[in-house]
Amino acid sequence: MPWGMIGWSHHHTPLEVREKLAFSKSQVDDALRRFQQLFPRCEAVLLSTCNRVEMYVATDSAEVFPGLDAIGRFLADYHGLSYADIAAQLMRLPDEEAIRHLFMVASALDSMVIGEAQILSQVKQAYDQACQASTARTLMHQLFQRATMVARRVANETEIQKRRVSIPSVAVSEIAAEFFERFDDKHILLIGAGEMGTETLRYLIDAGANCIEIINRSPEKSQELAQQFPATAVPWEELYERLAVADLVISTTGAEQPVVHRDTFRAARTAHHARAVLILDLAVPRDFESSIAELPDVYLYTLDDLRKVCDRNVEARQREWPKATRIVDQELKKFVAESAHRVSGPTIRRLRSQADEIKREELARLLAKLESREVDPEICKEIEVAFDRLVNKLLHPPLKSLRDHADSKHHANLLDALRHLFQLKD
Amino acid sequence: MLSGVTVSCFMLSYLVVLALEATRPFCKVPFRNWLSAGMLTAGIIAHGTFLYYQFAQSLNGSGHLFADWFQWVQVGSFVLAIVCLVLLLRNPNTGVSLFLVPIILLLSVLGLLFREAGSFSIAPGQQVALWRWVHTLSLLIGTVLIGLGAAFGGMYLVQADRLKRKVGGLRKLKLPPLEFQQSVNRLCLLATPVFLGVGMVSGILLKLSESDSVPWFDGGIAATAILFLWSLLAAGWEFLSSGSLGGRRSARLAIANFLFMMMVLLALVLSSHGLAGQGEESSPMQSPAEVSS
Repeated sequence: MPWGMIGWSHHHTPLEVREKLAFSKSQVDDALRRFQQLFPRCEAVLLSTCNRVEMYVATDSAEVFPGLDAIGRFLADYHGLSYADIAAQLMRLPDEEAIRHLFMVASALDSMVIGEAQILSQVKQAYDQACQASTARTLMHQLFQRATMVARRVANETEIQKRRVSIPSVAVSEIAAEFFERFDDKHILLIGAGEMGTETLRYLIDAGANCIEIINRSPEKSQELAQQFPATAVPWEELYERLAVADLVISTTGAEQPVVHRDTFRAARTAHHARAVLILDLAVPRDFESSIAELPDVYLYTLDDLRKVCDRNVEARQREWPKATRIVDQELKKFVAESAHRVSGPTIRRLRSQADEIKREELARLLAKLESREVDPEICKEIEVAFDRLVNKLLHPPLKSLRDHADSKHHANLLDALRHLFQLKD
Repeated sequence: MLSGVTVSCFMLSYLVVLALEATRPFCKVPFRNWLSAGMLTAGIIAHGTFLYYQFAQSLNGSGHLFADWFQWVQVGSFVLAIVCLVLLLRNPNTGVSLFLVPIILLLSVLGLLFREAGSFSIAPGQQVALWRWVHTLSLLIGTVLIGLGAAFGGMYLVQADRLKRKVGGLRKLKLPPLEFQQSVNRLCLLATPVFLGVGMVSGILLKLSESDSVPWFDGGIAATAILFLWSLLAAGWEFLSSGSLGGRRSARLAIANFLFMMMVLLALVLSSHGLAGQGEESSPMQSPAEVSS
């Protein structure tokens, strides 16, 4: 049964090219509809994310499989590009390689950041769209359902997705979580409007934070951010006062010099009988003087500290790689065997029915002769059993070979040979 | 057959739990959490069985539960072991037991030191029995709270130090968040003087019910009073300084509480109050709760 995948990914194709080839949600729908018109007997799923554009195609018969180049040409044409210009950057994977690739993609083993679980939802979304466009039918149902299952196995049986690797997620899920049991009753202060800071804030809001203050040299900017988040904008002049009452501070200003100085900070803390505070200084250059880390009950983490945690987690994920790929390979083997079994089912049934038909005809002829000679009915029964055994014994070796090679590349050839040798008709 | 359960049975179980937790940062053990919880449960069952037979013997002999120091201290470590199991199940994959099990073992060992100290003399009377129960149980709870506070205090200081120094591999020995540790510390610090106070007052009332006079300068009473005053001071200090994470002070106070309690207990074991003559031991004012507090 032909399967195939053709596409572009971050591995081989630069961003400039990927941008041109990306499909929006509505374009995916449209492309699938057009594909269906061109190749009505094919099933297809189109996965388009910022890191990859991949089209998975399957048919129940090799004769109607359009070929990977034809599919590639279809994708290029859709965007008005010349196939020849982009063909060199294409990834073409036939049969088992395509299936394995999908399992790797769904399990986040082919992602730019290994283990980034977001890809699974994108894979599911692509599959859902194909279902709605009716380009995903039996074969794609089986493939994508299995891919989801493989991804779950990898997530549950390895630690590849358990460790965060982005700075904001590490800041919240690993560092802040060591300090706080809950975030809904914490005073959180965001200094500056850096992207890293706002991203960290998103994670904190997801974790339940709702008492957030934003402080920025530009009041307009802090007001703008305060409208985006459930937060309050605070004037820059209140910086030290707000620092003294905060439980968690995230700082990402673009200042070239530290904006928080040890002595003033200490004085403000003393004046307000400040509590212990966790400071995530994500700015480069740093916003907090490094000596602030020496103050009691002040826990100062810089970008480098967080990056070290991220690096450790990336290494830990890589250590899990062999275990994850073993799961993928196990599942691939099972899936291929099951697919082969499903494909060979009708042929085996036809073979058996053909053999049974011949047996019935011959048996009927023989029994008619024997009855005319008044042979004992017990002997007739023995002959019937002998015929059954004969048919079974004759069919056993070819069927066993077919079963034994279910997960090999010879399976299709064997099946074909069986059809020809026994002249089995569709 | 179960009457053959000895102190070493449950102590061995607790030691295995300690070994499992202590090796957490260094090596992977499959199903470590389940093994720890299983061994701790086995220890608690053995501990409970042991106490059951101890109480049965006491009831047959003196007719009273908590008949001696040994039983009282063992019950304290038993309660702490149950608390430890609850925390272990509530915080899987964390090294909570690494800090609590040593306290449990320490109390068990202390119990062994008290084993030969003899039984308490218990005067008859319903009122005496009532005050005795209040006195014994409140000081027992106070002791358990002090032990729990010390474990969480130690945990807090270790975790705060690791976070301050940004020590790598925090995952290897994961501990509950500082906030949780501090809230347990705070609870222990604030609740301890309440129970110690009830224990002390009930001890005085017990004494008055028995003999109409209180030996104010008795070592047991003095030690209880000093520990109560100290814990009251610590609780006041903690109460007046509310904070979200300012837990170092609470942690140090909780550890100081425990050290104070251990000093009082050791002093009583080594002095004539604790382990000397049988007659002196059986004085009502030297009930286990008083000494341990």
